Amino acid sequence: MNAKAILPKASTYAVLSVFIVIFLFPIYWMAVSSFRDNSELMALPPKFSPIGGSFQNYIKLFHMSEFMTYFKNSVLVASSTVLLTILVAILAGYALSRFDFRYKSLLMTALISIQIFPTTVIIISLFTFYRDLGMLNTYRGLILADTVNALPFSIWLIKSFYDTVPRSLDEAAYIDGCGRFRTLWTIITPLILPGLLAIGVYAFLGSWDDFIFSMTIMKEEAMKTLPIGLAQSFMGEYVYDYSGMMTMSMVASLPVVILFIFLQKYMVAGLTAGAVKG
Amino acid sequence: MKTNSLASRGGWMKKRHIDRFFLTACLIPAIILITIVVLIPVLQAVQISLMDYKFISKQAPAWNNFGNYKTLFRSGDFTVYLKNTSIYIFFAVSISFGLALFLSLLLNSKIKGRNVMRGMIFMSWTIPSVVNALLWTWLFQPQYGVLNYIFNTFGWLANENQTWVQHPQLAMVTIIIAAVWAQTPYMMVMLLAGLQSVSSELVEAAKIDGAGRFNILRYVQIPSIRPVIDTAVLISVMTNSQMYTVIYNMTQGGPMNKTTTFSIAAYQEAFTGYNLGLGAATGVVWLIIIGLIVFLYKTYSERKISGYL
Repeated sequence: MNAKAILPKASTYAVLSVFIVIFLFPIYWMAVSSFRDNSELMALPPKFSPIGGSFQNYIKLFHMSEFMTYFKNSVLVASSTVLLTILVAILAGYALSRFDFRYKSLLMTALISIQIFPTTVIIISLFTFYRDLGMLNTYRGLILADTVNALPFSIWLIKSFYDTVPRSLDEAAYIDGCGRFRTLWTIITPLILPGLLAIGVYAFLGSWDDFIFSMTIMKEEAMKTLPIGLAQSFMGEYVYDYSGMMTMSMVASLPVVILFIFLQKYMVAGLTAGAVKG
Repeated sequence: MKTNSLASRGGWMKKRHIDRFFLTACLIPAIILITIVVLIPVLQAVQISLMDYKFISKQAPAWNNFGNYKTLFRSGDFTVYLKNTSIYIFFAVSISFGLALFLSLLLNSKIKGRNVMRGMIFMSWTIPSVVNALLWTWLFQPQYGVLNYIFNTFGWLANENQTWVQHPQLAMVTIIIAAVWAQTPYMMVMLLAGLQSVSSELVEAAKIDGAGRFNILRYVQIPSIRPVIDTAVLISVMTNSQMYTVIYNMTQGGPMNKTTTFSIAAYQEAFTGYNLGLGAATGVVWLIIIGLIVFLYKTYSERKISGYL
């Protein structure tokens, strides 16, 4: 290997490393800040190393009952969103994959264009609609909203996964006397598990991250989710509680970061399938 | 004709009917959910926008002859929102795209540990938006924020305790930075996937023809990934036009409405100003604008955007 081949490579690594540091630094800073208390944070120069920090803030956080409520609600809503999204997407995706019918392309266009509607347009009247239906401050109200948020992409992705399963398999099962639903459930769907994982992760992330639906639908303290709890805990007199803020932020980020670390492959596959065919 | 087992077994239910039932059953859940959460609210939003619908008013909401729209346009608010929204979307999309392209090209070269590096950059995308907003607010904190400390070390700041998030001109900068930090990885991953699927034969042929790295990029790689680029940019525009959480939690649309985009404005008017009618009208106007943009983009985009959009 001559010098000419090595040099470009070295500079590539160097530049990439610089950007990796830039992208990771805020997360690192969030972590480091969470190990310090406010007296240390509100002093210059800032301490860049985590050494000398403590888990005090975390202990305080887990004793905060409102926090546990927020966390519980987020977990509940996000998990339910995943289940409902997968269920609905499997059905719709399979139907769109296997059948041709008169208004099919209209339906598919409509499905995709849902994503154009600004959430704030929807939320204003969703609020009054839910209020009239008595669905404000209910888990099902928020779960429904989060599910619909995830549906367009999920249905599209699942459909493209089903498209890769040859119809001859459906036919063979049918000829063997297997009903349509059973075919779908026991034979075809197990073949697209990676697709299900991808939309599961996607739906979870979307729901965990949701702020605006939750803020508008959940008005009662006991029902609020983590993002709302996080935002409102650090308002008013607590706006300078940076250590508390960073600690709660860390805990709020941890589930999704862990999910990402273990399921990165599926996440990336799902996302890139949205852009690149095959 | 294909074998029709149930009919051939002499069943009374024709395959056609079962299929019809099955098809409908499969599509109904999605259709119902979408109708409840999207279709009805959007139609109602249009209706509300045409009414005098205030939270606290004791009278029933009444038809108000486009009054809300008139208020929106005549007060000059529309222009403010349009300007803020355009600036935000333009910079958020272009900067994250440029950065994403740059990084994906770097990652596309023959390096080891590509997936690990990609993963490390991608982490910022998974961070919840609220955390994103709070984190950058802390980073940009005037007195104790680490960024000011670093900038001061280099002597870059005239004002030692430079305000960022509360500064009328700089607030927009901070929300764009927060947005770019979170969104670049997503675009980068898409562009990288696109680059990796560029036919190596084409690249080889270009090299044989004597093309340098830059020309290969310009005449082979970029054209090959044009559908991916179009999709990524469109998704980015749509994501940023919806952006609420980061802006709300960092600047609340301020200071002095300097970062109030259509999204923020609509929500604010409805729930803080208690004027649902005006909020709905703002939202509808925005919906029309964004619908037009997407429509024009797709119509005039020569290359076929990937099947997703």
